[in-house]
Amino acid sequence: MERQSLNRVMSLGISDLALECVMGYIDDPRDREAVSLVCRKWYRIDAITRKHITIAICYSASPDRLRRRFPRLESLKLKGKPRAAMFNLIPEDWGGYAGPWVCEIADAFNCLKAVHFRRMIVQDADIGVLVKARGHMLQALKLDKCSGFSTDGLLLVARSCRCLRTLFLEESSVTENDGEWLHELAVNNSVLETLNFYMTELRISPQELELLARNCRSLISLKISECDVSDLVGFFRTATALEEFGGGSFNDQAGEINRYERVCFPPRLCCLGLSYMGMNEMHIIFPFAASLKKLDLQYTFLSTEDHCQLIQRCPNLEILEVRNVIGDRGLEVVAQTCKKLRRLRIERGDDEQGPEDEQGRVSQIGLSSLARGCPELEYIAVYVSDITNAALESVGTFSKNLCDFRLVLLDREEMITELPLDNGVHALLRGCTKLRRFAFYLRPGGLSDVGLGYIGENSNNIRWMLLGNVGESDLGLLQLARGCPSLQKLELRSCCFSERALALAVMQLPSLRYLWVQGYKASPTGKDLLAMARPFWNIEFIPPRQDIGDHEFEDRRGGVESQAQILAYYSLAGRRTDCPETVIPLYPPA
Amino acid sequence: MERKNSFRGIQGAISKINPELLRSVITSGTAARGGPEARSPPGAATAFRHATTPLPVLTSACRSGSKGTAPLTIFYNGTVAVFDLPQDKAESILKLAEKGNVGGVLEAADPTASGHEEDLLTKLNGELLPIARKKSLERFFAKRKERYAWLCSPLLPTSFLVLLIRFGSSPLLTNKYLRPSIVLFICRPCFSMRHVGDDSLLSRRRSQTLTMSQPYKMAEREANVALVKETGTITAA
Repeated sequence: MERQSLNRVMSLGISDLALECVMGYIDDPRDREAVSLVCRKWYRIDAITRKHITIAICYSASPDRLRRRFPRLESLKLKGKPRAAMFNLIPEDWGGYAGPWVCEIADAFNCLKAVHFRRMIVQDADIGVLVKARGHMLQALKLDKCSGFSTDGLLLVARSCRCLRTLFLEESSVTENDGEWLHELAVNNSVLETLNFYMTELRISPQELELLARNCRSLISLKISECDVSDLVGFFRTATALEEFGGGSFNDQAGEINRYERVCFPPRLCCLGLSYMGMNEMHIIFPFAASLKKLDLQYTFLSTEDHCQLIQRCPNLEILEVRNVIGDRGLEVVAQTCKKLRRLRIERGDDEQGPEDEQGRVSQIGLSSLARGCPELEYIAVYVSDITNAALESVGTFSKNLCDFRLVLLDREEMITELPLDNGVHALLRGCTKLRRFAFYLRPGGLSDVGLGYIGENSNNIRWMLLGNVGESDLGLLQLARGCPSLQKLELRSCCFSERALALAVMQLPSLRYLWVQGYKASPTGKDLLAMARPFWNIEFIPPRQDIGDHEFEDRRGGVESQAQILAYYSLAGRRTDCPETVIPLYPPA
Repeated sequence: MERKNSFRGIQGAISKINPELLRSVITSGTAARGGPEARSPPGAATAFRHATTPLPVLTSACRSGSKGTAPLTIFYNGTVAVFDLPQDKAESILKLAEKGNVGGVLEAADPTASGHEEDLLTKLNGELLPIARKKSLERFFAKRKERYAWLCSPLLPTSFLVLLIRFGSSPLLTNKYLRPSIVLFICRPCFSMRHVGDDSLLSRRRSQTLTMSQPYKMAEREANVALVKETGTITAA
């Protein structure tokens, strides 16, 4: 009786149809989550009007369950392997198979237009099933850092998906059988807007790209594998709508001058990343540097001075990605020039390049100038060689829009100017109230237990955290776990915490649904971990490995030992049935 | 030979060396010099007991590097490693070697151990994981190395080198980053480049260029690539 009147009150006389229309305008997943919890009717209407779902780990739900709840889904994003896979830390056969999902999509999801698989294993057969069932409607296909498929699969996509607007294959491992797929794509498609096979080893010919540009007049973004930029002159001339280009390569042969002088970029180009570009070719960017909004220099051969020269010509830059060769000096230029900068990524350079080059390192000096000079920053990821509390305080004071902060303290310098960073991180977290993602990777002595407590107390909105070499003892972890009210995903590496403390922390963190740990005080039998056993909580243990696996460009020597890992996550799908030998599920005795 | 110029690398190497051997090398070196610094007869462990006194090997007549460092040469099991170390570092290595011999295996950190350094060293040996590298960047560095290896290929004609030497007054040579690379190129023929494309390239080059302390550090600099590109403009200049 009471429930009925509550329902009536909640609906306020709004018809179901009207409710459906209104809900159609609500996109934010957290809003949707709230809406679905109001009452059964709202739950049902949310379920049939929900357009997009992201499943952060594909084993947390079954395809069947997804279909039962959201039958009219238009866009699906699935993530498979843990994020650590991007750092060669997860065995290749860990899992994340797209097969079962593709079968369900083919069977039941009649409205699906966009599919995004990230760090998953996708086979040609899976692609076949997918395009056969949904090819006529598919507008976006993203196989993002995936493996298991070949150019045969791409051929199927090219032939069957004529409405495809986005084909994204960045960093996937694709077996090369032939280059026909690009030709087929160019011939069969006329609406393609985004094509990305950046950081793949796919071999293509510039003529096919030119054909693509001729047929797909709305092509605005192209990121390719290696292909000499001087061969792309024709393409650039044809693709007049192009706004983003990435990849290519520069191959200066001795004696051949002005090889790249003829290269003339399309007029609207504002996002650029040129691989293997050196100081001699840099000037081809100068004519339009002032209109650049996004610049990727991570895979270039530029020195600190080159970075300074280039960046001082780019006052409208919003997104910048570099390696730490940019140095403090380059960051000073960024701070003075790029007042609109929103995202900055400073990756780690190669050790062999010589840390003796004093300019090729980023320290507290660069970070402070950056914080002061670029108030619009929302994302900072930086590998620093030195740091102080004051620099972190500067970030807390000036970077008020920061949503994502990631700092890794490199291990090459023996002496760091100021450790521990307790006060600095305290000030940073208190100042950057919008922070949602936070990574802090230090060294022993970098953060005390008190510092961990500060993190716990001041991370109200943080959803993802990566902590490395922090804390002094289990107490620190427990202090962290007393706070972090919104923490959903926690990654810990190379810390000194015991299994018991890890288990206790997991049970304490109110929002935690995913945990990944490598480098901890393992007990002989691992039984302390079972203290966190609970319903719907899957625990996987990856024992230490001798050989990390087959990596063509593996610099490390064979026989490197990789320490044990723990992966734990909430799942409505029950126990995994497709674990390889390298993964051991842990369950309490029944 | 593994590259060992990182602190952790040193630790990794040292922990595996037989301290008896180490001690005998050092004390035999002391005896051979027979100078005023020799405080103990050969074979005795007393050299280590005077931990605060300068060790003979560190004050030898060899050149000392910048910042008060000196070479520490370690012979072990048919391999030799040379390190340029400051005195305190060398002493701590020797201390550890002695400890390792007396106590058996180097254990994980005893929290009451004195000195931040020993703490750090034992922790480095025990629990610390190296900072993981991103796959995409590793691929890039490997490709860069391949490109550089090609540029240093013995197949590159010597006339190319002559070209470099001839244009001594070119702006290239006034650039302090490029100049050492040119020296490197000129000396190139004496390198054996069998194993290009892996770590041994750099370490072998370093061992052969010990007499040129500056250029080997520039060996893999991006400037080198620019050098080769730049040569294309020399003829036009």
